[in-house]
Parts: sequence; structure tokens; C-alpha cells
Amino acid sequence: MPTPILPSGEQFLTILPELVLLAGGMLLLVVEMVWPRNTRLSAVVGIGTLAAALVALAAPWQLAAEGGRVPFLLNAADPAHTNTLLSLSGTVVSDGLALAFKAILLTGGLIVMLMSARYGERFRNPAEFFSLLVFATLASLLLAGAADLLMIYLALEFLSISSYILVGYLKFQPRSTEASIKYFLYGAITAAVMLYGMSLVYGLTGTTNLYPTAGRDFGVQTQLQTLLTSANTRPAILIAAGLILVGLGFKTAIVPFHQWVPDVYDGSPTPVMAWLSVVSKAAGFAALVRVFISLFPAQEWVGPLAILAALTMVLGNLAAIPQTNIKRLLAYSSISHAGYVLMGVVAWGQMQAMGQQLTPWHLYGVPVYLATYVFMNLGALAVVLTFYEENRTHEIDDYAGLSQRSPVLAWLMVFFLLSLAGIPPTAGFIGKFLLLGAAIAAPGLWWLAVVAFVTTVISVYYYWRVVQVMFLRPAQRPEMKRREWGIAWALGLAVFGTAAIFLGAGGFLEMFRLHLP
Amino acid sequence: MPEGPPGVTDFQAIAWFAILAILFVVVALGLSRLIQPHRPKPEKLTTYECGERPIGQAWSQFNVRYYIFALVFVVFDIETIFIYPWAVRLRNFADLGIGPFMFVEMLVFLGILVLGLVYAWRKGVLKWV
Repeated sequence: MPTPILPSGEQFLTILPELVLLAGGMLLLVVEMVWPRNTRLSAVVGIGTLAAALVALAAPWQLAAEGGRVPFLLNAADPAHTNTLLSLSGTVVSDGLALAFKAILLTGGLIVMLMSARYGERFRNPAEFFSLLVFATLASLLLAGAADLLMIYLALEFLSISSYILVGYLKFQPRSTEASIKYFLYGAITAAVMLYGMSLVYGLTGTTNLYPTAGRDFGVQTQLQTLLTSANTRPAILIAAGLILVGLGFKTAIVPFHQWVPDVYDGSPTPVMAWLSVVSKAAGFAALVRVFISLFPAQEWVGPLAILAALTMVLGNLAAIPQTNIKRLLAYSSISHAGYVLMGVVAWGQMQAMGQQLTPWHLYGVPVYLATYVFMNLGALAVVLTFYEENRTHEIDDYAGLSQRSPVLAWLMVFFLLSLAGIPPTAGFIGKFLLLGAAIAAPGLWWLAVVAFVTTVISVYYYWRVVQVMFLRPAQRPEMKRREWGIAWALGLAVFGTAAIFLGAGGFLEMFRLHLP
Repeated sequence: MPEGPPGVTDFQAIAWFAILAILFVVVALGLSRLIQPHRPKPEKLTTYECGERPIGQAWSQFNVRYYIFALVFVVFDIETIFIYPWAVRLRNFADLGIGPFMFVEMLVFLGILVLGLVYAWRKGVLKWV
């Protein structure tokens, strides 16, 4: 009789941030029961939970480090680090990529929580809203650390279900409810399609583990490589890859799966939109990188994904031009940023397909870009939220004269928009620089870099239009007075991150290089 | 043993099972349709509601509250699916020396569910207004 493998206490330390979030989310429900409608208290508990989880991330980092360094990506073909990096029966991986993504997700979650500290006042159960945000962030962490197809599916569903509720949380606003229904229909169908793709992989290989576990000395990727050479099994693998892309493409909002984005972002509460555009998207990319880099052989998917990346950049940026609503503008801009990140994934895959040595450009481009995106996009949305709370409008034309009504907000918006456009004194420049460099360094992808460059220039146009309205049109309304500690902290963190990543870019990358060889 | 990746052959039984299940329905209903006498009467055509006389249309609006009750019910329905196999295997777990761990693990699971139920209860979800 085989002895079941009992997870040791140490293995639970690899998911310590997740456990902290679980406890915090449940504590918030207790808070709602004991002190109903206490927005301030529940916001403090929510913020504390995310900050504690960020600190708790040190535990898996310590466990995974070997001589001060965490291996960046667990290699499916080389089981060298599997013992230290895989835990809980091979379902959780804590390599450098997973940990970097978890840090990004928790930072994003924390800033969103700060943004919504006062926003919760409009709900009947504010602590419930915060607890859903905590649980949704927990799901995104599980997705970033998933090393098993079933785990990826479960985490993705957990993430989706929490998001559906959050999107429709303004339940007396028809637009919010409509957004929730649209998101749900789209999400349910893409999840089912993705599960079908996973079942094909399982049928072909007999396992859902991405990495070799006890008793298996080769990874699924090696097995898929062999199966790809046979004409019988080749189509099934390609179909499986396509079907799994549907589910992950939905989460990351890359082009053929992006239609839900403008309506859902527009209809959902602004903090939830911020959460979706940053945390949910980054979690989707964590899973996308994991599945495509570690599971499917790169030479098969680089071509199609490169085309999707180009389409995403072109469509996202062109569709943003005619928008008159700031939330819809940022929704389309968020689609275009998914295109840039996908370009980084494609460049990474291309190097792998060509059998070339991976450079820091390829390895760090994707996480660094998403880290910068967390700060700059959340910063812009924090300004949008502050503006809305006083003026009750999202129309770009109503931003007229913001430079006189509230110079601080206007200049902050300029700073974040510059960063989103990728212009030098900001973090966005570092992110774009790395991704463009990665695409140029990868053989045969220079055309993708050209597309990215041209679309970036287009994006400057529509970001600049907002600046023009804020600075060159006369103010229609009185000075803005509202001050709020939560949003102030969120803005502070966002400014700090956006500026620090630019100023300390060398040190920031060195940190990656030193700890994640 | 036929050639093929591990696991695939095990699914042949499932494929046959699915085919048989579909055939069973098609054959049983199709055959009875072919040989049954067809003599409709008003009594025969009324909706079967366990002997009650049906009132109104089936497509009527019903209280949205049912949905919340159903949701709470489903959670505890799923819970039993986890508890039964656990209860059956607990003695084996104890023999293997991991009894306390498995016991505590189930308590944690139940604790999370109970907290959810208490929350729903406190929020007045279970009250029929």
C-alpha cells in the first residue's frame, strides 16, 4: 500500500501569503457581522491584510532561495530544482517568476484597497466588498503560483467568480449589473473552452502536472515534444494550445478575446476596474507565461501569438482614439498594454524556439513591464476616482481646466499618462525599453518591435488629448476641495513606484539579476 | 496492452459508457414512440404535478429568494461530497499515522463553510419576508 505524501509544515510556508489573505478575508466577514457598516474599520483590516501578505511573501522567498538566489523559472526539462521549488504535491511552484508576480499582484491589491477605503461607504456591506477584493487577490496569487493545469483552472474560476460579483457590486446601477452579466457570460464560456483544452492535454499525457513530480523523471513538455512529431497526435496538441489560449486570453484581454473589456471596465465600480485592469491581467499573464513557456513547445506558438500581439497593440490603440469617456479610454489603453506584454512573451518564446541563450531582456521584460503598469495605471485611475467623487462624471470634456481647479491632480495625471505612453522620466519608459529590446534581440521579430513603436506613438496622441483638455481649456467649475487619506496614500505609492523604477532602473534590474539568475 | 500514452486507454471504458447511455435513451424512447397507441384525452394531456390539479402556467414568475436558498443549499450539498469519502477513509488515515492531520484539515474546511453560513444568516438571507 503506497504511503500518502503528507505535506510538511514547511510546505505550507510556500503559500503563507495566500493563507494570510484567506484569514484576512474571513476576518473581514466577521467584522461585518460584529460591526456592520463600519467602512473605516473594514478598510483598515483590508489594507492590513494585504500589507501582511506582502511581508509574508518573504517566507516562500527564503525557502526557494539557494545561496541568496531564487531560480527564475523552473525548467520542465531539467528536474534540478523541483525538490525545492515545487510543493503541495506539485501543484504549487514558487520559482522567481511566481514570486515576482505575487509581489506585483499584492502591491496592486494593496493600492486598490487604499483607493477604495472611502469608496466602501456607498455600500450596505462595505466589509463584504473588501473581503471580496481580498479573496479575488488571493485567487490571483494562486493563479500565479499554479504548477498544475487543474490548479490553474480552479484558481482562474475562483478569480472569475470573485470578479463577477465585484463588477456587479453597484447592484442598483443597471450599467454595473449589465457589465457583470456580460463578464459572466464571456468568462463562463471561455473557461469551459479552456477546460476542454486541458482535458486534451491530460488525455494525451496522462497527467495535469506541468513539472515532473515524484516517480516521473521527465516533464510534460518533453512528452508533448515527442507527441508533436506524430501526425496522429500533433493536431490534438495544437488544438489544446489554442483552446487554453482562449481562457488565458480572456483574462489578459488580448485581441480576439477583448470585446468585454470596454463595457465591463466602464460599468464596474472604479476601484474594481482598477483591480481588473492590473491585478487580474497580471495574474492572467503569469498563467500564460507558465503554460506557454513551460508546457507547449515554443516553435509552434510563437508565430500565431506574435500576430495576436500585433493585432492587440493596433486595435487597442486605434480604438482608444475616438473615446470621450476616460474609463473607456483607459480600458482600450489597457488592451494595448496587454499587446506590449504579449510581445515580451513572444520574444521570450522565440529565443527558446531558436535555442538561443535567454538574455535579461527576455526574462525580465514581462514582469518588469507589469510592475511598472501596476503603478502607472493605478495612479491614473486613482486620479479618475478622485475626480469622479467630486464631480460625478467620467467624460473627458469635463476635465477642462483641471490644472486650475486642482493643480496637484492635473500634474499627477500628466505624470501617469506620460508613463503610460512610455516617455522617459517615468517607469513606463523602462518597461517599454525592455520589451522593445527583447523583441529586437529575438531573431525575426523586428517587425513586431516596429508595430509596438508605431502604436506607442499613436498612444501619445490620445493620452495627450486628456492633458490638453486639462491644461488648455478654461475651468467650468470651482476649485476641487475633497481630500481623502486612502486615495492620497494610493497616489503616493503610485508616484513613488513610477518614479522609483525609472530613477533606480539600474538597481531594480540588478535586484532581478542578483536574485534570479 | 495497446500502444499509446498512459491514461488514454482507460478512457475507452468511459467512451463506451457514454455511447451506451445515449443509445439507451434513444432506443427506449424511440421504441416506445413507435409501438405506443396514440389516444390523447384532456386528462392525459394535463401537466403531472403529483396528483394536484395544475393552476396557471408553468412559466410564471417566482420569488427570486428561492435562488439564494438554492445557493446556500448547494454549498452544503457539495460539502457532503467531500465529507463522505473522508469519513470512509479516516480509519485508514489513522492507521497511516496521519489521522490528526486529516481530521484538522476537515475541521478547517467545515469552519470556512460554517462562517459563510453564519454570515448569510446574520445578513438575513435565510429569513423569508
